[in-house]
Amino acid sequence: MAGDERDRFADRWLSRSPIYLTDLDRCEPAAALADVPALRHWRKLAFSTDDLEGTMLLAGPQTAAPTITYPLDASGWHAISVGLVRCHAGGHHTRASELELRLTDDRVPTVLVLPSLADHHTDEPMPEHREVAELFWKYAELDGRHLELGQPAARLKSGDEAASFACGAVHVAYIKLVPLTDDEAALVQEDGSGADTKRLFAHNDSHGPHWIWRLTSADEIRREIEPYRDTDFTRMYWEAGGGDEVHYFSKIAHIPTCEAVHDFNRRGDRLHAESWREFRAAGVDPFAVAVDHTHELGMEFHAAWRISGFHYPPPIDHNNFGDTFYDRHPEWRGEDRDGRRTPIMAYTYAGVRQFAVSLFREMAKYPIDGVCPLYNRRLPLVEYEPPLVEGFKREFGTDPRELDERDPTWLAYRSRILTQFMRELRQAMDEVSREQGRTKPIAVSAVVEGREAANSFFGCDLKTWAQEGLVDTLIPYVSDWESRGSVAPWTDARELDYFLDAVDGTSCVLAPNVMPRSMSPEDFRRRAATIYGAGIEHLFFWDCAGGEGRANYRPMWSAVRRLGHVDEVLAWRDAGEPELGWISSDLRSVGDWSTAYDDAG
Amino acid sequence: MTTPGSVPLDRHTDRWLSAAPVYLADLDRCAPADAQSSEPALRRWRALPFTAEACAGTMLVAGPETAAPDVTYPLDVEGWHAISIGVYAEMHGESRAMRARLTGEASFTYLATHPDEGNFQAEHLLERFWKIADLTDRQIELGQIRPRVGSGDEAGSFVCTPANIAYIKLVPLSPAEVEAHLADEARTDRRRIFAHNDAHGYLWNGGPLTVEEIQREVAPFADSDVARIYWEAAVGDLTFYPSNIGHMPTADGVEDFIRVGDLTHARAWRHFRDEGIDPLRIAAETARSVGIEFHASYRVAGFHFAPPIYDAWNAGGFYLDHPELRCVTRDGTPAPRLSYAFPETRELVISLLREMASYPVNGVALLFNRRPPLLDYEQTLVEGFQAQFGMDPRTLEERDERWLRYRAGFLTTFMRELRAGLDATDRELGRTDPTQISAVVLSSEAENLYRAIDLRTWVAEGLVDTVIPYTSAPNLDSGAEAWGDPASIEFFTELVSGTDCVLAPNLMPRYMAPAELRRRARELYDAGVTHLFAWDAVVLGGRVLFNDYWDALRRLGHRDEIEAWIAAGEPSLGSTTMRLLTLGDWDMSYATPG
Repeated sequence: MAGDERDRFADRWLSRSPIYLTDLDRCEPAAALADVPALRHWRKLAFSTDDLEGTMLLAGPQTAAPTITYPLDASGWHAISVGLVRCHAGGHHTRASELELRLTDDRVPTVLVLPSLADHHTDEPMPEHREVAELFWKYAELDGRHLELGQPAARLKSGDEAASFACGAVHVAYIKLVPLTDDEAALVQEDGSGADTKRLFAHNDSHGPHWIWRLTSADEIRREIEPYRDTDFTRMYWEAGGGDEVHYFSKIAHIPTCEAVHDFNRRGDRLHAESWREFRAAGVDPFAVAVDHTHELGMEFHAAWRISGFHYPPPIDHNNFGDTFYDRHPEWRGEDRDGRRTPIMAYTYAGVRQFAVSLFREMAKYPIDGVCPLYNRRLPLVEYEPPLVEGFKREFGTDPRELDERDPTWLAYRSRILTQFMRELRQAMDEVSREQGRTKPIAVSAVVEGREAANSFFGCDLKTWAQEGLVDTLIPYVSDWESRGSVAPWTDARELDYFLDAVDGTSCVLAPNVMPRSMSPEDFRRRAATIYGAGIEHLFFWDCAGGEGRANYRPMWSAVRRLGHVDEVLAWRDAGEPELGWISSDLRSVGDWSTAYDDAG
Repeated sequence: MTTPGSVPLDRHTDRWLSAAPVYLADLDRCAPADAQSSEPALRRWRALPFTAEACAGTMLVAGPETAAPDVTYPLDVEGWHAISIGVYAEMHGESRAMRARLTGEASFTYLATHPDEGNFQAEHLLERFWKIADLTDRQIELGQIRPRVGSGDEAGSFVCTPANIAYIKLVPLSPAEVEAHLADEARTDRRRIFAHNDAHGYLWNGGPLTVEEIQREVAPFADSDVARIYWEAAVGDLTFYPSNIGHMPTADGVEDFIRVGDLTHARAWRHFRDEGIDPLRIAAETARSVGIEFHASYRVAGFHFAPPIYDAWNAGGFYLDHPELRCVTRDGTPAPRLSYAFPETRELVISLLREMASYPVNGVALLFNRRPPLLDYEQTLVEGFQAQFGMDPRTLEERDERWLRYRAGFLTTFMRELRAGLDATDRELGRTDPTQISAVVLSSEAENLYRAIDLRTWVAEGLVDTVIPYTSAPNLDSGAEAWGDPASIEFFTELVSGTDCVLAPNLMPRYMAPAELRRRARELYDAGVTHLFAWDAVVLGGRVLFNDYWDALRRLGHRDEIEAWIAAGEPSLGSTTMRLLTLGDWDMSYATPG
């Protein structure tokens, strides 16, 4: 089996014929199913395609359908997929379809996500209206195990009325099983143990899932990490907070419960705050849960922190209320060229740096593997604060405010601040590592801007950081000057030269971020091939979380989760880049309706 | 270009006025004072200080669950003014909207931003030009659009459209400008625009429950070039009024829908039924009261609806009781349509249209632009064709002209029967102006004939008073640019030439840049078109957002104004914007995402 060169994308490499289970009205309990739309029930609806017919199950945006079980009655290893139909979210609402799946005995479920027909904001190809599209879930040994299907629901208000819950509408047409031969099963089991393929780093902002789903349980936190099981991902960069709002139970900062706020500018912000209130009341620390579950999957856990999130612009400023570091320390705020105070906390001041380091020390009390300041949001961190201006004047005899704002001497001088911060951070992590008796010191990563000019302007001297050993992993965010997440960086390997030069001769790992978040599976492989071709061994994926993130089980995820298989990527390219897109089939009828007839309007 | 009295001919928004604007940015003066709070609070406007390029003051902010109450700003001015509202769109891909009403007005006007506007104007205030009015002894009421979605008084009880109201801008009119404005209002030659409202979206989006909320779908057209409103009154036998023949979309017994708006829509209709509110009558009377014709519009093919979205409307319908009247495909399969080949179908439809005509309407309109076909290969058609031509039409190419013309004869029969039916209704009602018939049709002569619409016969026989081609693109493509090729309108202009039939091509897509809109209108006018149609000219979610698009559309009947604009080098028609400098304690020059 070694040397098997089949491209193991999704279940397309398997030799046996698929089994389509379209009789979803067999799900139990039967009382959870209904012939007509009903709250807290799955609606049964007959359907047919050219090759299949059966009963699909539907749930709407307010249904909050219960978890049901389909009796698989299969044994041995199988590849499991489901067929979903894209939904009309309606109007400009773009909430995606969400289906929670779990096999009997699985501790944690996962969520499959398919954007609605109203969502046009992606570069990823999508199935058309009235198509059943297949999402590959995973391989599993099914002996005695059944499949649970659920609809994630966020509680919006009290009671049990339509408005009490918000969900992603979902239409499930079928379950597809492909039995594995013994050889194929062995390959699948071997595949997960290959250390040489564990090259991928995932990021989770630990905000979106609370914002969308109003998480309230430890298993819902674990659900965010579970998709990485048996994939090529080896590190989780989990956001521990931003500024003095942190996503763990802290003694020196606050969690985002927003007690002082009674009306939010976005509904999701309320759900986010309520989610944290529930976790606090239950004594469940989501950060601790995330650390443990990540380690259970055999991955490293790195605590990431938005280095500049101390104060927010209204009207989405719910984080500003209450006792905040920003309000307590007006003397440490930034100052612009004109001498005006700015809405940032300036790292020019030792007090700000010490506070930041104290937070990282607190995070390091958890069994984490590393920390990661996120320099890709809300810059600048250093401006024209008086100590900085005076220092420059003393050293160079010139007021920097009279120079061009990109004067290289001034920028080099200003970058000393963040280099100093990185030294302080490294020192602190080394001390904590010693105190904790760690054999492997706490690693320091940094997500940085994607261009030399931007890093220089914002005071990030990457070469010094790498050369001095202040950073173990550098993660350039995107190559676009304005750091827009929708652009496709690294389409030209030369864009990476600056970063390769920065880490040259050091042990610092380089892991470029692959953007945009959603692309075709082919584009993910092309981008990876380009980066690997530049001699880089690791890839980073910002916003990998479920919901609107990358672990969505669409074909793009089938590509992403195996993107550490460099040989597979390169062989695919050499084979002429065969198509990896959707497997889908047109619906011919739904209920008593022939889809040959227009149903719009 | 100016008129002899030195008043510019192009009176787009308030840009033609000579006086300096007055910015009223102290919105914390709104009463009652306890409707505001300096911090976010449910059922209160948040008073948020701001500074912008041209003014500074206090913005009123309300979020999606705030359900902020109506408040009144004391204008305390006299005379005629142009009124605009400055709003902050934010950068979230969602609409921001608010409502405004002057003292003495029956209904509010909704002013909104397009979901994409904020993405391009994240650091700007956007101006919504409302109208010109005499403000003597009048104040302005401002409110949030706040449909209730659940019980109680908690955050989740309402789903509102967020509102960020920064300022009211007034531009006083000089006496000459007032004179010009009033003279303009009195012009009848500008009334060239026909506006369509599906009478569905406003319920789906906003869930109105009151008479005033229905009136506001019509009231904005009073200050525009709109001559007619085409208000949808029914789809198949699903009626948007209390009918003795059809049934209303109350979707009784269904509480779970695939889209939240469908529940809002059903609840609105249940409320109307229970409270005896007839939206069709309210809309018709409102339109007539402001001098706009009202045409009850009818989707000719909506007798049965597809799951999972619309099938909640199927119960109790004519379709389920009459399987014998269904269309049949070429291969003999029953189709989800009722066929107009059958007299029973035509009689039902005509009875519904006569019922609509009993309202204070100027006409009825047949919407052939949704859900074709109306006739397929029903046995009666096949046998009739065989009897006449000696061959089975199913053996012919599906676009065989003999077959298409034969089949179209049935729809022409329907049109004749309709004309006779409406004449009878007119006589019964003692109507002196006959009830007109409009038809929204497909892109070309060939496509219409393929769908059994024989326009040449209809026009020649006087069976239709207004022809409205939906788009020049085939297959009813609503996203395609219509009439970009001048040749595409030639069939229609030739069709109505020398007849009394009015031609009003529909402007598609629903949104285009205002300059493009003016250019397209000019091309159509130059081609001999006298009127223009706007499908989905609805307030929320439609063409009437009071953004730059509506600023152009509402005066598109002013041919001379368009000519003046072109002669002036096509100056920008984009929304007026103002750079926002600070909001609360935030310096807007600092990046905000994440």
